Amino acid sequence: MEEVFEIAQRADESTPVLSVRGEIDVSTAPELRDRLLSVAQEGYSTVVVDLSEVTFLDSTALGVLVSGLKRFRAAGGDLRLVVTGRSVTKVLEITGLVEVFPIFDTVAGAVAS
Amino acid sequence: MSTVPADENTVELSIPAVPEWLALARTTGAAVASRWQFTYDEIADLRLAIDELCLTLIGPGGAERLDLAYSLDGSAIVVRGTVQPAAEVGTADTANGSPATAPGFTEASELSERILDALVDDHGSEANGSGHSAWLRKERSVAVT
Repeated sequence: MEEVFEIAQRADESTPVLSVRGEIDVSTAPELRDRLLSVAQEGYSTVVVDLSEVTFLDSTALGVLVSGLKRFRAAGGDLRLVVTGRSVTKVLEITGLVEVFPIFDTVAGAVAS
Repeated sequence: MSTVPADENTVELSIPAVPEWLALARTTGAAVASRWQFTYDEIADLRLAIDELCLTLIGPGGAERLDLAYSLDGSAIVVRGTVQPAAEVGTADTANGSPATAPGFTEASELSERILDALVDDHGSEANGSGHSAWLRKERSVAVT
C-alpha cells in the first residue's frame, strides 16, 4: 500500500539538489527537514528541492519547505523548487505558496538560476 | 453507471492515531470515493483533504485511536474523524485542562485550513463528548443515475 519514499542528493552540482520521490506527509516530512538541515550545516546557502517525482504533499511538508526557505534566505541564499506534477502545483497554488517559492520546470533551470 | 446500494453507503475505519497510519486513511477515502464514482480529480482532492482532516485530530497527540466514517449522503461524500483522549480509556486525567480547550486541538493550522477551504464544500470540527470530531463534505460533480 505504502509508496516508496526516498531522498537522493546529487553531489555533482555546485548547488545541492535534493530529489524527493514518493509521498511527503506527516510521517515522511521529518526526513526532508533533516536533509535540508544537513545541507545548511554543510555550509550551502542555496538548495534545490526536486519535487517532480512527488505524488502527494500535505501541509506538514509545506511547513518543512517554508521553514527551510526561511533558513536558506536568512543565510543569503534561497530554496528553489522543481515542480512538474499537477497535484504538487495545485497545493502550492491553493495555499498561495506558488508566489513565495522560486519554482522551476527543470533541475537544470533551478541550478542555473 | 449504477446507483450505490444502500448497504454500501458507509465505510468505517479505525486506525492508531499516529502519523504512519494516515496513508491508510486517505487511501481508503480514495477507494471509497472511486467506488462511489467520484472523478479522478475529486478523488485527488479528497486524498489531500482527508489527510488534512486527520492531521487536525492527531496533531496534538494524546489519542490512541482515530475512527473514520466515510458516508455517502445524497451526492456528497462525508468523512468524519473522531479521536478520544487516551486518558479516557483508563482513568481520566484532566491535569492539562479539557481537551476541548487545549491549544491547537480543535484548530487546524493555517495551511490546513486553506487547503480544506479550497478542496471541499464544507468542513468543521466539534467537541464530541470527551473526544473530538472533524468532518468534511464534498459534492460529487457527476450525477449518478
